[in-house]
Order: sequence, then structure tokens, then C-alpha cells
Amino acid sequence: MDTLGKILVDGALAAWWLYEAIIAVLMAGFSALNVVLDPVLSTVLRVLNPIANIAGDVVYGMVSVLSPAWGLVIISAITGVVMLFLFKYTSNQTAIVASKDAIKANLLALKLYKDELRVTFLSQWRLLLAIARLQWHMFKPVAIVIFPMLVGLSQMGIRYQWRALRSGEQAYVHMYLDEPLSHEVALEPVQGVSVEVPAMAGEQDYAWRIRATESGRFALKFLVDSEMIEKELVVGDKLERVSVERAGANWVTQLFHPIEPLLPSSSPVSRIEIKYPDRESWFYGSNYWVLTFFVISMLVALVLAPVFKVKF
Amino acid sequence: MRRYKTGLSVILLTGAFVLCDAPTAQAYIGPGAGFAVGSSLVAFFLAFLSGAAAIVLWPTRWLFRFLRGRHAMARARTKRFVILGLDGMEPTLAEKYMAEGKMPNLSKLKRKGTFTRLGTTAPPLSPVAWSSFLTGCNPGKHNIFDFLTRNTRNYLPELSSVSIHGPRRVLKLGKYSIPLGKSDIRLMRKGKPFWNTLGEHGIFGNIIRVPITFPAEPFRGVLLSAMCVPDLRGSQGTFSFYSSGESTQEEHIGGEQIRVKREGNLVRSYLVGPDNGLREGAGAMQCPFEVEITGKDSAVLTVNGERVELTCGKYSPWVNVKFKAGLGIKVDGICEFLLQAIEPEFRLYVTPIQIDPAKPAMPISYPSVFSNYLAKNQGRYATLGLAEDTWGLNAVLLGDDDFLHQCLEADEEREKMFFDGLEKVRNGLCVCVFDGVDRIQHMFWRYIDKDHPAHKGQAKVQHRDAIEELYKRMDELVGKTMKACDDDNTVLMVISDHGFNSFRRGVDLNVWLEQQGYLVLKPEGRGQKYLAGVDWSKTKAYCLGLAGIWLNIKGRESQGIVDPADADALREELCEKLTGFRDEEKDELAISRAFDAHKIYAGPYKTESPDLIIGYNRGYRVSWEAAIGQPTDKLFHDNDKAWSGDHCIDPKLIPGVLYCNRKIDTQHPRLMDLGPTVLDMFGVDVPGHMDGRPLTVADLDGTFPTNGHADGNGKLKQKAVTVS
Repeated sequence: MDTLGKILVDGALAAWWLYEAIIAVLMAGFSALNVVLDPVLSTVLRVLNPIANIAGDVVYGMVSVLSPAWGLVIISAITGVVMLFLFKYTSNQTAIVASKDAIKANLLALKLYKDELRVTFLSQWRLLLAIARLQWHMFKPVAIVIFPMLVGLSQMGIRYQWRALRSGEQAYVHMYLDEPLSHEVALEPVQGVSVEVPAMAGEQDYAWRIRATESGRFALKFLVDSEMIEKELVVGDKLERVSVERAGANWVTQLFHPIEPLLPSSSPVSRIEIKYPDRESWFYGSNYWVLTFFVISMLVALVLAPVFKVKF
Repeated sequence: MRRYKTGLSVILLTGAFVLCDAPTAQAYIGPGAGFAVGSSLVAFFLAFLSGAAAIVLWPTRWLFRFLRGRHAMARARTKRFVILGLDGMEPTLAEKYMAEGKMPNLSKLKRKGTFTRLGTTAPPLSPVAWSSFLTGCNPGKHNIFDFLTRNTRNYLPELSSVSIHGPRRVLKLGKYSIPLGKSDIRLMRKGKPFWNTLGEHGIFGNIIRVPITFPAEPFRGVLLSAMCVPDLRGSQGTFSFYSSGESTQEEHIGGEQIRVKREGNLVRSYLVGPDNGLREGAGAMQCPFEVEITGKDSAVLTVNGERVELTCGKYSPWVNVKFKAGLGIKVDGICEFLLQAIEPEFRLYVTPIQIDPAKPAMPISYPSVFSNYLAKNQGRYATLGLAEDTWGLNAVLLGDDDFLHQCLEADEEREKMFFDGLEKVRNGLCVCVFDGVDRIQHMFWRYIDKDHPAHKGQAKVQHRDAIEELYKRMDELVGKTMKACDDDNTVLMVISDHGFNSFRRGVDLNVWLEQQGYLVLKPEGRGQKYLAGVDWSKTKAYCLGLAGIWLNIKGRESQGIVDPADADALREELCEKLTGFRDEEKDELAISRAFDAHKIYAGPYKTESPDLIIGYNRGYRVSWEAAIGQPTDKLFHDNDKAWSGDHCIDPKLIPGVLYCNRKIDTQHPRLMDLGPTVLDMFGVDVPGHMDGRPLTVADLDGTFPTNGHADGNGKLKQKAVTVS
């Protein structure tokens, strides 16, 4: 019994080790790819972001007459339809149907031939293969759709994840430097924004506490040595896009903070961040908006799939 | 192009991997990825759940099965019994092709085990024969005597094996009649299939396309119905033919011709579906379609929003068609389209619209999901009982090639089902019937019988060897089956329900009855179908269907005139007159024997049979007209149709074949003995009501059981006549 227990424990440990090793290898692979592709993707985003910002302004401008909740519903629904068509025309529908049929057939075989344990195992194995095939056929459309999807989601994120400061509200502004503090840093006074606590130095960053005194879109001006760097601040009550961070050339930050231009590569500043408050709503507020978007777009896609004869 | 696509795929996948590395991307999966993950997760979850349940419950199920079937298990002499039915395989042809070395696998089976003739039923018709096979009984106990029977109230023909009526109760809401319950579909075949008896002893059955199993009955196993499964219109197969030619709309046996008009490159028409039971007086449901001509031999068909490319001379794949009844109710069917010509006239053939196996409108399988399982496993397939459109070829709307395509396709579909069953069932019974053998011999016999009226000028036709090719193909199928059954625990039998022969001349028995004074026609009654021209007040006997003659008995038929007390004498009189009846024009024997049905059958349903069963001589059969109750002015008719081979003759002249991978030590085995043999081999007592008796099958080492179960049942052990 002890031996059996030991074998089981060793087996489980070995499986876990194998899993960890596979994950580590995959992550290393991804990181290596990331290094290679970062310059490419950054360049693409540098071109794409201004276009996406204009498109975002147009689309959200059109739904701005509605409440944020209705705006989210309509945009999610439209995205669902667009994704449905993208999926239809970028996927191998025949192969997807064949894989799904194989899945159903093997599930039914489990039920019909349940007395034959051999068939049970055989069907399980074939089921796994069919699922793997389905995943493979899904991957191409997902791979094609994921980039524009992320760009679109980032446009939603800058509107729904955070809200603009309200007049009279305070917030912290952080400036992160590439090296330990060795620069002269100052935040210039701006009409409509008061600096309540001047620069507080951290290990590799400075922080200011500011207070918005009137609504509007302001440019905070930082003097770093002799270099002037700007960071947008939005104050108001409406659904407006906010730029939480102005960053360097990393493609991931560019993707999720698309509004402001990149910091110059020669700048000692790596990023400037404003701690905007989270948007509070269980439907379209911080993090919930993703869920709402996901549910609505999926539902619309599911309902309309038979109408447009899309198989997934 | 391929390299480009591969490169693009690699780039896309790499990009996707990188994007997945984005820390926040995990939350942003969106609908596309959601579809992928969601559907796979559900499948994975269901698979895991079903697998776990199967594994956990398996010991309990095994124990239950063991307790229920322990008696049989202890006496079983095999673990698996496989019966491959080749409907209509003719022993003389099989012997010929084996002797010529054209059927090596069947020759091997003969050398290793058994090859003999297999006694068929009277009449030797597939529905009768297969019913006797599956019940182990004579027709007097299973109630199937022909494809058709007659309605005793109005003398109209009815399908003998199944009765289909709409639901008994409906709720009337304005113009709608909402059905309160299912349609009333009844199997008219009586008796219990031997696989039901096996199932009661815990033995699983995988039964594919055995005739007269519609609607599918519950038992321990899976079953797909065959012969007599109707099409979506409820008929036994109605094809549609669309033509822009000058000919007006025509009616064909087994189909209809619809005239269409070409407008530019467009042809619009509709498929005819079942009657709309939901709306009173709405008639048959229709499904519109459109054909856009895109080239000199190509077009695009649009039906239900689905686009299908058509090429002249090539069948489309199975196309799903939907008929809308109203209130959101749809009926699903499948059919194939064959674009025959675009110029000078547009010609489009559409197969009968069949029940969609993935969404069956009628109970074509047991359990009901089995037909769907097969559809998912191998794609859509023909479900119609007689899937090959013999009427289309008879009407010359289909060519030989087109018809053969249907036969080959049906066989391919069947083969997949059969081998899937063989792979899955290692303990139990597997039966599968291939009926392409029957259909091809029916339609291509004219090429091997130089005396056939339809043979003229066809010496160089492309398909003159169709039957030989068919037998070779069946031999390959047997070879594959032998390979799949190449273990010590499987008994394999290859059987046919009857043989085959030429059908050169048809006998109009109604004319004979008229000439002999047993049947009187109304003035202008000649030529009317379905016995509509018969003067019942003066008619003692009539012919309808393929099997025989009915008496017009008082109290049984609504306008009967024959006193039941005189019926026996009349039957005897007719039998005497018909036995040995000759075709004077050809100086040949036309009827070998006529049987008094009440004497050759035993059982509660023998009175439902035709009163006389006619055993025609080789080369003869009931005429086409007599079969549909349409008296002509001639006693004999040359058969110049493509349907040139038949088997509706004296059963003695047309036995089937029995091959087995074991030696069989029984004289004159009969089709109805096979069910009892299977029961016996599995150690199950043969029910007393069965007329068949178990054949004595050798063990694997070739020795016959000295204390075999066959003898133990008190059945007579018969002397060997094994051909080896």
C-alpha cells in the first residue's frame, strides 16, 4: 500500500514538474519572440493608434447621446456581429463543422456503446483529438481577429476602465525615471489644476498630489532638467477617454494606452502615470465592462450565427 | 500558393502567441476566442463527465448484465456473431464468378467453412424474406406477404409493413391545427426480432438497414431502419424532374416532372415536401430554390440560403432542405441534385427528399439519436427504404451512370456504418444488409440476358459488366469483413434473402382471371389503375401486388361475393388451373406452381395473406399493370423496361446463398433458421413460437458439438451437406 502511495505521489510530482517545465519553456519562447517582434509591433501601433483614436472618437461620439450603459450594449452588439463575419470569412467552416461533428459523434458513442469499456476509452481519445482539431481550426481566425480586437478593446478600456477626475477631486501623478534620481524635476503650474503636494521622491520616481479645480482637458507640463514633457489630464463628468499613462516604446503599453504620443527614447523619463479613479458601475464600470462586453457580444454572435450561417 | 498560406499561418500563429503574452490580454478574449474556448470546454466537460460515468457505472452494468445473461453466457459458443446480408445475391452467379477466380474472398470463405444455398420464403420478396429472417417465423406469424396489401374497404393498395397517420388529437386555432401528440406510425410486421430475445439476455445488437424494421423498435442495442422507410412526403420515394422543355408536366411512377422557365441565367422553382398538417387546406409544403447558370455546364443552386455548386452530370452532395409549416415549425429533409443539361433545355433531377438523419422527422433508428450519431460520424446518408431510384432509370430520366452512382454511394455509406459497428461491438451481434446488390441486378440484368426484350442493341454498352463488377465489389467487401472478423471469437455469415433471375415477360393475372370468368370489368373499366375498373358485384378474384391473387370474400372485402364456405374450393380450383400455366406464344412454362396460402402458412396472420401465392417460372413475373390493379387487354407483356431482373418467382427456383466461416452440418438451411442459429450460438433457448431451427455450426476446430445446444433444444440434427 505504501509503495502504491509512493508511486502515486511520485507520479503526481513528476506530472507537475513536467507541466511546470512545459510552461517555463513556453514562456521563454514567448519572451524571446516578444523581444524579436517588439520593434515591429511598436512601429505598427505608432501608425495605428492615431487612426484608432480617431475612429474611437467617431464611434463613441455617435453613442455619446446615450447613457454609457446603452453605449456599451450597442458597441458590444456591433462588435459581436463584426466578429461573427470576420470569423466566418477567416475560418475554415467545413473543417470546423467536421471537427464538431466528430465531437458530437464521439459523445454519442459514449452513450450508445456504454457497455463496451473499450469503446468508452476509444471515444474519449477520439474526442480529445477532435477537440484539439477544433482548437487548431479556431486558432487561425482568433489569431487574425485578436489584434484588431485588442485595439478595439483598448479604445473601450480608455473610456470605461477609468473615469475622468471631477472638479475638486484629487489624484496622484507619478513620474518614473530610467535611472535613480539624478535629475531636476518640476511640475509647472496649470490653470484649473493645483498642485497640493510638491514632488515627493521615491527610489526611482517622483509623485505629486494634484487637485482639479475646473473641468477640461489639460496638459500637465513637467520640466526634467531642461526638457519639457507633457501629460494629458482630463477633468469632467462625461464618458471621456482618459490616458492613464504616457509611456516609452514598449508595444504592450502602447497598445493599452494609445492616446498620447510616446515619450522620446532619449528622455530620462520612462513613463508618467495619473491615478484616475475607477469607474463605478456593476454593468459598465471598471472590469465589469469587459464582462458585459464579453457576454453581450457572445450572445449576439450566438443568436445571429444561424441567421448568417456561421459555424463555431 | 500553398507555401504562401503556410507562411501566413505561421506568422499569424506566432503573432497570436506573442499577443497572448500581453499581460492584460488574458481578460480581453472577445467573442472569437470565446467561441473557441467555450465550445471546446463544453465538449471537454461532457466528455469527461460521460467517460467518468461510464467507467464508474461499468462494473454495476456488467454485474447486471452478467446476472441477467449468466445462463446464456455459460452456454455461449461465440462472443460475436456477424451477419452480412447481400440482398439478392444469386448462387449460380456466385458459383460462376468463384469458379472464374473473380471472387477470391468468398472462395476462401467457402473453402474454410461453408457455402450452400439458403432456402427462401414464399413469395421470395425482400420484405417477406427479411421478416422471416429476423423473426425466425413463417409469414403467417409475421404478417408480411408482399410490399403491398389491399384495403378491404376500398380495395386500394396500402403498404404492408407500416401504417402512417397524423396525430389523433389536434387543437384547432383559427387556420392552424396544432398536433397534440406524435404521428401514429405503426409497424405492421408482427413477431419479435431475434435480437430482441438476445437483448433480454444482455447481448448487444448493432443492426444496420435490415428491411422491415421501420419504425424502429426498442431493444438492447442500436438499429437503423431500412426498406419501407418513407421519404419526407410519406411515399416510398418520389423523385422530381425539372425541365424547360416543351413537354407538359408529366406524371411518372415514382416521381413527377415539373416544367420550369429559364429567365436569363436564372431558373426558379420549388421542391415539393410533405403535406402541411398544421394549416388546413394548405396542401404540400414547398421549398423554393433558384439555379443560376454560371457556365455552359455549371450552375449555382441556392436553397434555404445555402449555395451549392452544380456541374452537369455530377451529383451534388446531400443538401439539407427545410420546409416551413408555420408557427416556426420546420421539417428537415435531404436530397441530392443532378444537373443534367443546360442547353438546349434545362434539365435538373432531384432525388426523393429523404428524412434527414441528423434531425429525423420519423423514428428511423433506435435509439433515436443513433441516426444522428451516424450522420455526425460519417456525414449525411440516404435514409429512404429504397434509396436507389429505380423508377428514375425506368422512366429514362436517369442514365445508367446516374443510377449506378446512387447505388455505389449507398453502399459506401452502408460500409462505413457496418465497419464502425464491427469496430465498436466485440461482444454481441452485428447485422448489416447491403441492398445495392438487389437494385443493380434488377436494373442491369438486361445486359447479361441476351434473350431479354430490353437487351436489343446493347452489346457494347458501358455497363454491360455492371453485375460482374458488383459481385467483385461485394467480394472485396467480404474480404474486408473477414479481416475485421479475423479472430477466434467471431462467427461470420454472408447471406442473401433470395437469388435473382431474368424478368422477360409479365403475366397480367387480372386478364387471366377475366378470361376465366373470375373477374368482371365495368364498361370503360379496362386500363383503370388500382382496380377502379373492376365490377365487384361480379368479381370473385383479383390480382394486386407482386405476390398473388386475392379472393373477393363476403364479410372480409366490403363488396365481397364469395361465400367463405366456398373459398377453400375456389382457392383449390385456381391453384389447379394456374399450376403449370403456359405462355403459348413463347411455348414456355409461365407459372411453375400456385400455392394455397392457407395451406403453406401457419400462424395467426395467415388469413391476411393473398389467398394464392403465385410461383412463376424463370423469366416470368406478374406484369407491371397487374401489380397496380390495371387490367389490360393482353395476358402476356414483354418487359422492355430497365427493371429487367427479378426474383418474384417460385421460391424453389430462387434460393439465396449462405456462406459461413465455420462448417455447417445441416441439410437445406433456410433463411428463417438463421435467427434461431444465432440464439443457439449465444446459448439462448430458441423461443417455441419460432419456426426456424438452429443450424449445427462447427466449433472453431471444425468439430461439431456432440452435446450441442442445437440438439439440446430437442431439434432434429440434420445430416451435413456442407460444400467445401
